[in-house]
Amino acid sequence: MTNQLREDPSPEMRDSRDATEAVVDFCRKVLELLGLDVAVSAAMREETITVNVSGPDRPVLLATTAALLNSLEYLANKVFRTGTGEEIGSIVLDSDEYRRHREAELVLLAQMASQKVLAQRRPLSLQPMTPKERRIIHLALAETEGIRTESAGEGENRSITIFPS
Amino acid sequence: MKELVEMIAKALVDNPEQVTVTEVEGEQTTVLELRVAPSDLGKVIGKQGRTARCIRTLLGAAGMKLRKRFVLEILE
Repeated sequence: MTNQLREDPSPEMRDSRDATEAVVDFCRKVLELLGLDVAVSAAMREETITVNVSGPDRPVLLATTAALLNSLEYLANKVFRTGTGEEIGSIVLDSDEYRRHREAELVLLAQMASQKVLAQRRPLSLQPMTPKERRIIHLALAETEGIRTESAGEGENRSITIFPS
Repeated sequence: MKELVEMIAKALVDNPEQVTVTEVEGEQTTVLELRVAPSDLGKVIGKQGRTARCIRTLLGAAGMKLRKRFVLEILE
């Protein structure tokens, strides 16, 4: 007990700061080697590190439904969240509120698509999406009566179909 | 781009000292040959090839800016 009292008052905070810094360094290095003109910053909250990437080359990051941003996010999670020392819950890459805007867009898409399915009484398949994006659609329509959602396909081709029920 | 692939691969594997990348430059296409320890192959390929696909997406973005095509080959 006395040992604990003698320690630095906030070792956890120092750890999380180190982890955040390491993640930022990694992202910064990758983006620099890619030749992109962007700035990287990050904040950690409740074991989630949110990295914001922004700058003149933001459009390159967000092209084809944020393919580059999503790839870098996946790699960062692979690099920093394997094996022991699971102090990082998850790493989220964002670019000036892109994730929030994309979520709003997906919810709207889900609502429009579900209305069409209800009107036509015919299944409707959506574009392939990432697991996180599919989750947003499933949740958005979980309470909607008269339809159900299902994912089918493998890997990057996995997509949601909305069925009348 | 050699440095990029090397850096990412080293960050992913258990044996970074066994990571080598050779760059084979063509007129429009540059082939990047990545070699890792046999036990680390899964780490750079990933489930359903997802990790490899992510690295290729990064290379695609770099290629767009430089107007070149980069091909990643993972060698056993």
